[in-house]
Amino acid sequence: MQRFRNILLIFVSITFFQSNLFSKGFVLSKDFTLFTSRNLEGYLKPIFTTLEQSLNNSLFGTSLPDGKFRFTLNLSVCGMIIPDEHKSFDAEVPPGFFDSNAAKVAQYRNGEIYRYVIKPNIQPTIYGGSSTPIFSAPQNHNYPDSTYKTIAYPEGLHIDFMAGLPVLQSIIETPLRNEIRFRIYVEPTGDETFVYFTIGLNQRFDHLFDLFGLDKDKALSFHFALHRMYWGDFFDLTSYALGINAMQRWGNLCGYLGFQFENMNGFFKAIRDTTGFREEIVDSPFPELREARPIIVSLSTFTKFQLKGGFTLSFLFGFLNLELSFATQPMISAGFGLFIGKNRYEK
Amino acid sequence: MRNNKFKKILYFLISWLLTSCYSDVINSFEQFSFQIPFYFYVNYLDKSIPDTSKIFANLTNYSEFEKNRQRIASSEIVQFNYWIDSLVFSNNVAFNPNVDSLIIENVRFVLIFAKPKVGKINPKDSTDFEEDTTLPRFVLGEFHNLDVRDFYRKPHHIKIISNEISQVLTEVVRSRPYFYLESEYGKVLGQTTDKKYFALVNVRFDVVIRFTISAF
Repeated sequence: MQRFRNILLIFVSITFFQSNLFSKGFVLSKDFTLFTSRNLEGYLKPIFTTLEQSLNNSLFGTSLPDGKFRFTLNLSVCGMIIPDEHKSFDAEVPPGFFDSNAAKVAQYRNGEIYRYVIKPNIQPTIYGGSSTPIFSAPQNHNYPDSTYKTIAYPEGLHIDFMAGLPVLQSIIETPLRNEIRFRIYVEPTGDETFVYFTIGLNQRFDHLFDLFGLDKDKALSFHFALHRMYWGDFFDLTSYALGINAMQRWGNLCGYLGFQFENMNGFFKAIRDTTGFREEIVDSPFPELREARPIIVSLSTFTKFQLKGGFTLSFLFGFLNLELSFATQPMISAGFGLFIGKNRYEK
Repeated sequence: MRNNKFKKILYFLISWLLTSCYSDVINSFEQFSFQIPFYFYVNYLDKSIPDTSKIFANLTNYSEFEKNRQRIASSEIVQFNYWIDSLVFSNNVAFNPNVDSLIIENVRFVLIFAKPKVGKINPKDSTDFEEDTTLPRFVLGEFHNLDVRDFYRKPHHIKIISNEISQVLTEVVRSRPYFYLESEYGKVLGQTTDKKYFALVNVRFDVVIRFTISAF
């Protein structure tokens, strides 16, 4: 979680050069004109997809719930292959750029010069590459046409493989043939506290219908998890997953397959410091920046479904787990668990 | 005993995996690149051509640059653009792109690095600087038979700065972000006099610079 908090801080610091954390919220300098809300949302959506996928990792598959009570400490790491579709987005363009009476525009793309704005206006996300500026010549000097000047966009970090949020969780197996998972991280930062918690349930149900008869090495379960993450009143994230999974045990080895529906929503809000706003005009071609409107970013994910499969190898004191997931960002995950108290073979 | 050893080895392996995996991620986030357009407005009164003129640019006057200067890991000029915003003939009649025809035989834009004059402790404006003759000049763009109609409030004359030049500029722009943009105007096509006069010429240069800054 410390690493993730660092990454969050990095993205905040790289996008907001002049910002301060006050109890009243996240305050940006009015000179900050790199992103509109929509462009920041598009730029960051793939990294929030990575976050969402990693939150919804390791929700099942670490053991076959056979009704014994056991407490396990589990640590999993994951990494995502970033597909090309997550490396660019359709960026917002100032309204006057589509009106040749207000501004004439040009851009250089793929070795050609275009005298109009190409839609979609493909610009890189945080995982992408170079951006493409759009040159603009205002056709008259009256406001707001005079503000329709050349714009440029932030660039990506050229990332093809991204490590996800590591999962450190406690797993409690109960006699009800289920597993309850907990994750929590709390850190006071300035006047606010960063809070993250997850609660998950993996409930076996095949025995209720006697689906496998005397075969004790097969299990069918459904799983659910809810994740909450918030930081003051400017960052709030909720994610959940709901799915079904099947397991087969061969001695110390378990194989499993699962399918889950998942989603994420939330927001990031920041206000702009408007001190001296009347004296110093911000002549950005984007009305949102010109008028120093607050930044409000909706957090969402590309991933709605994951198909997961993996193996767990149990030892006397713990287990090792390897998992592959098919999702919008294909994921590989590895982890280990330590049994606390009774070991696997103790009755 | 054997279990303890195994646990230690496992702990070491996983710690190593975690550390290397996440170190790579943190490394990826250490630097952040963005492009910023710099706008240069040059207004000439009683301009005559052929002529060579220079404007001075000091990036430290740009708040975005100055605020992040210490964190700038590299900077490169990526694209350059030039157009004419207004032009008034010597008889005070404004140029009309639908009617008037005006072709300039050649126009060239050259980037010349500047350095503070000897003894200037805290140089601010152009009078405190002089051309840095230790560095080569760079031609940003050159146009032959420039038809003013085609440059009149039209930004499609985009010049891509080659990687070779950009790399040379990177180090210099970071340490000495002052330069001149020199404009060399040739004769008007069919010009018979030594000089042709214009009452007013407003031109625009937009220079897009890519900055890479350290996030930490």
